[in-house]
Amino acid sequence: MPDGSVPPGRRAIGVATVVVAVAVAAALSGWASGWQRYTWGARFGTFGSAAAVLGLGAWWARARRPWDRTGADGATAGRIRGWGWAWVVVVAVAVTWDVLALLTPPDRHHLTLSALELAERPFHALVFALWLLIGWVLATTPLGRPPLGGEPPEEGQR
Amino acid sequence: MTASHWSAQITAVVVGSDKPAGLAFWSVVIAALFGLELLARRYPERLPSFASVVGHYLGHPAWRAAAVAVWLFAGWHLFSH
Repeated sequence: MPDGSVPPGRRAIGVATVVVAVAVAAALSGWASGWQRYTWGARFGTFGSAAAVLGLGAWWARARRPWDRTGADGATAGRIRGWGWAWVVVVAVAVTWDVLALLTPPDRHHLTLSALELAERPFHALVFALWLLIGWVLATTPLGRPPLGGEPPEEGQR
Repeated sequence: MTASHWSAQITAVVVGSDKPAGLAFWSVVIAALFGLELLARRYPERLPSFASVVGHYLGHPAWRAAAVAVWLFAGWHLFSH
């Protein structure tokens, strides 16, 4: 497409692919929530899922057309803009909480992510799905983005 | 006063050290992550998406490899260990 837009047929294929991928990830996450820890089944299941996500992600990244390379938000270069630190704040709060909860005495229920997802199967499935999603982003995001600070502002925007 | 003592005091004050409160906290964190992603898609000029953050901070192959290693360790720790 000369204007860089996505052909309608390819868009339909893309939507169907996303729907199937979400369904497969949901089913896999539900199945994974039933795995027993410290078993070879859990190890093969976890690292098999990781290998599948990384392999498919690498293939997907190579197969994408130029109109997909900017990402859904239209960002051209991974620039950190405006409220970008909100991501860092949320992750920092979660990590701080996890470290503090790790030090909780044995007579109290640990509030770490691992202890809670072990205790609640639906939460386990949710965390597994989130883990798969993070792996997909790690595998599909292109390497070699510009350094911190991004592109300089255009003339008239300084 | 040990670190675990102070940790217990802090978590007791904040959430009461009970499991539902812990689940609520982590649910809020996960909802916040998805909320940020939705906001990033709605206001791309103000907020980068998660993929943009990954591309920005983990664009170098060594950093990306380290991030994948951490991701694999997290999977092992959370789901098979």
